[in-house]
Amino acid sequence: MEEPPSYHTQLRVYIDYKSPYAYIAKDPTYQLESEFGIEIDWYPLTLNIGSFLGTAKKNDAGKVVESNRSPQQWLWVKYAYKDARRYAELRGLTLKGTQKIWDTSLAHIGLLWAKQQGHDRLKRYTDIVYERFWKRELDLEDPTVVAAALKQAGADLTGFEAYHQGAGRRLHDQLQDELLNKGYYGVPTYVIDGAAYFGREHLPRVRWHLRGGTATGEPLPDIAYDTILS
Amino acid sequence: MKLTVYLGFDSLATWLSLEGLRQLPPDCDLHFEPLLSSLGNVAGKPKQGDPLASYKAKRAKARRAFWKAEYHRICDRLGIIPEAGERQLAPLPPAVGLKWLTNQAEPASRILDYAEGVFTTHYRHSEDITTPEAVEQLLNKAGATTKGFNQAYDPLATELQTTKDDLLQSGILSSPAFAIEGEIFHGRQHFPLINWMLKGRKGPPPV
Repeated sequence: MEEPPSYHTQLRVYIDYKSPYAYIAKDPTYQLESEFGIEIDWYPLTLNIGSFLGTAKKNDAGKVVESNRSPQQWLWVKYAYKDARRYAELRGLTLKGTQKIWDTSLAHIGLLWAKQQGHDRLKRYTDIVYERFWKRELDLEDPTVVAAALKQAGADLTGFEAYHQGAGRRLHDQLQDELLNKGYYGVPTYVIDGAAYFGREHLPRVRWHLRGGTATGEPLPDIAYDTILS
Repeated sequence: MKLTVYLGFDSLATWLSLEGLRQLPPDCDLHFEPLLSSLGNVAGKPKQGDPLASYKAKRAKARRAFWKAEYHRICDRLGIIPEAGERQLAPLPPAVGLKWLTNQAEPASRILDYAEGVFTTHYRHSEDITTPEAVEQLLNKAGATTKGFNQAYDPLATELQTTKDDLLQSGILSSPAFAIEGEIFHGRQHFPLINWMLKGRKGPPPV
């Protein structure tokens, strides 16, 4: 398959715009770039959340109007949102719970498009999408909205419509199949030196790899949410 | 500031959390509660005719592969071989010991010594810790008073089994869990933030 361009870095990061955990991992992950002078190679990993956490819809008042979630799934979903929100709030980020499970594949094709146009544009696009989506200001399933976000990020839109309906869609779908086969199933996933880590709690380990891994003589650190943002 | 710690003995993650618990500020008001239930994997199994069956199977396989790698990292960190870590630890007997310690208002350091003793005895020395006598021995080793423990064992075990699902319903989903200022945290990855809260929220928070 045709691979999206790589930035010749050792670190690959897989994200999904509809994951609150991936959202709050964004800035601590960006910080690795300035800390280690690297460019992270970003990829979309489009989760099918309904397949493992069930599905539900809420109305504007926050009332559940449709659900096939088990009580156990609800317990976990409620905790996960609370957990992500408290870390978001500590940083002044808005994280409003979603009212349905979004199909983020189109926004992720936008990620692949932005990536072709350079690292800074990709990061700007990601910043715009995350911030506005979690304020409930962005319909990620609307091609005109995704195109507008790309434009705002400074991307050239020439050919994007054909791309998201054709080559971009094919690339995205192939990528998703491959990722599961490689063992990447959640976001954020960090892949470095042949190791895959799921969750930003593994950032101490990613930093250990970037410092030189086993060559440093230090043992692999334990997991922790330990990033102090500069 | 009060911090309640929920510990289940059927998880290696609990063992790994003991180091972080020992590093909490010495003046924090630490309380312990045993945990017998955990939420586990909530994904469930695909039903017949499920259109997502193939995706679910692939995802489950990927998840198992990740956790196998993580399990090996955990065993490395604990200094045990993976085969040793696979030995099932029945959580009730050591939980009764923990409940006894909290009822006796034993200090946190003694409770942590006891918990360390449980894990070391089971996983490093492969010794049986499923009887009241074995638990009493572990309590003694930690320096705790055990007068009356034998008589208290069965009522404490019954109490723990009766209330185990209440904790789950109240939002304590897995071990280790921490409750502080009305918030619940699951997992030792939260230690930096918990420390920051316990130390008065000074400076930028770890995120």
